[in-house]
Amino acid sequence: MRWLLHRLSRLRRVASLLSLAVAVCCAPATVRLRPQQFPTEGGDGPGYRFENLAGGPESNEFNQENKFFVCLSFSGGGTRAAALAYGVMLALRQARINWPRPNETLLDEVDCISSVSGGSFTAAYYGLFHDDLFTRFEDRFLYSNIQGRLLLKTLYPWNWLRLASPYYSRIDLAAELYDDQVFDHKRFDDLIQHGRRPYIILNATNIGTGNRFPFTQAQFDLIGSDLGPYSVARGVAASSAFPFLLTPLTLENHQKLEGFPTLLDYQLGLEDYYNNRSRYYWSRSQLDYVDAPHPYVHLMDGGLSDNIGLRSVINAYEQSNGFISRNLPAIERLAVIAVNARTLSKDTISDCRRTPHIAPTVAMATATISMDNYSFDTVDFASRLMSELRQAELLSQQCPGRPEFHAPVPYVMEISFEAIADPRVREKFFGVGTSFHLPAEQVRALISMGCELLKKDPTFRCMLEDVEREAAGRHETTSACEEDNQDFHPRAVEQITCPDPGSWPGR
Amino acid sequence: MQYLVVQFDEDRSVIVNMAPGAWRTNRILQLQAGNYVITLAPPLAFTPPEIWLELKNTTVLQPKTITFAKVQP
Repeated sequence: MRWLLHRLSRLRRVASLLSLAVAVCCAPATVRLRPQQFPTEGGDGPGYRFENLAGGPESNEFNQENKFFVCLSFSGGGTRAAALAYGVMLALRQARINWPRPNETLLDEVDCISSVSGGSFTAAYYGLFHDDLFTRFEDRFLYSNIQGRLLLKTLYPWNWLRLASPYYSRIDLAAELYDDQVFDHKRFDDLIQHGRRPYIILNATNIGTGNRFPFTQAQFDLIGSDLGPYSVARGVAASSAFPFLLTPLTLENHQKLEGFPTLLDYQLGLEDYYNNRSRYYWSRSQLDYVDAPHPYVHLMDGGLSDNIGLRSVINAYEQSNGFISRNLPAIERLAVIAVNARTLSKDTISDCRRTPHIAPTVAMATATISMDNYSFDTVDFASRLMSELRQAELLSQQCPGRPEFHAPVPYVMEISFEAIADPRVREKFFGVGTSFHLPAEQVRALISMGCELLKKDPTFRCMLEDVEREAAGRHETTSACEEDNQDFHPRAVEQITCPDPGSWPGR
Repeated sequence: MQYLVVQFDEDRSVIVNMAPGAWRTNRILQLQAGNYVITLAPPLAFTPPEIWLELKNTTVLQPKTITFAKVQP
């Protein structure tokens, strides 16, 4: 009898453990394991929007903040992309300028950073911690074995139970790791509370529609959610959820409440099919969140829709409700620096006569080919778009007596391994893998290369020449970049000392 | 890009699709092609209260021109 009671007691314990497991794995886990999103009350006011940061339209610093408008875009590419972007930031921090305000650095003038995937780590860290980027980011992320820690985390038995749930997966585990290891559990509210630029745009891809999904309040308006309490680490995780290695990150669509003024822009865009197709399709894709709502949004790597992170900047410039477009009349100089850590992977598929296997060859190619193919187009497009207005201004200057027209002087730069002069060194950088753990000597070389490439970029040099002429009181109608002789040595560039590249890849 | 001039008797902020920006009256504004609702920042003593328009086929030398007139309060 005692033996039977003992067996029953053990069975009861096993049953209660099983029911606990079921409870963790099933529906209630959705609520418990995912950070809650808070539906917004409507309106276009508060939240993580460019207008709510320092220098917005209502502020006294509006004109000073906008005279020199600088946006950066950071591409994907794991630690390789994060390190290259970090090297560019190091250079910007050393470039001292005296226009439009005295004694600043070019980094102080950065107004927005748009990023995807690996580049999102550098962008988000700078947005949250500013100058701490230069003291702690190297140890916390660039030289850290994030990939190994993620693998270790998946080996903990208590995580097996969580991973067994259909509502919890590897991306949630990755977001927890980024929260603990890199972002100190910071929320988008922390970015709002700083109240200062740059405006950080972390871009993911909605795999239901294939469209870009930026982590901004304007986008969250359309899913009826407040971005403020949401974890920045989860935004970065969604932005860098590389296909096959990580799973999609899921958001709930609370559906938009009535009364958002921004909707008018999209509704008018729906009438533009014949006049402006890009505006029409963008409006339609945005209104789908409202008019044909699905209860969930599944997000993956931002590189699937734009691997250079530049589309958000182009939209902000091109669209009438974009934060650059709305400020354009106040902008005198507009700089866009696209940091592109693209590599060239060897074409091994074309060496084989056999039809490639669906998995993994075709599947991997399908998921990644588009990531790089449109990067060049995007930079070229941005360059053409911005010089169009400049040309219009030069034209209007030839016809005096007409209404005043002002366009900013554009400077579009791409920092990429393509600009490395030595073909052997270039080849080595093109061969750096896409991973969240690179050998320390490669990270060091990437940081140094980001800095060096910016320093020698001809547009960067003539832009700083313009800024120094302006600071010296020489307000000229033409830009140094439009002059025939491009041999400039601005003081700000000469002040930049890039970190020692170390021994890799051997010079 | 398309070009628009919003004529008014004084210098005033121009509001495009209900969103404020750095646009001003009596200067050439640049907007992408498409449909817009244009109005002015307060005080609201002007007519019409708003203008709906489609911007296309303009150049910086031949911008589309719309006019708001002051009304006596």
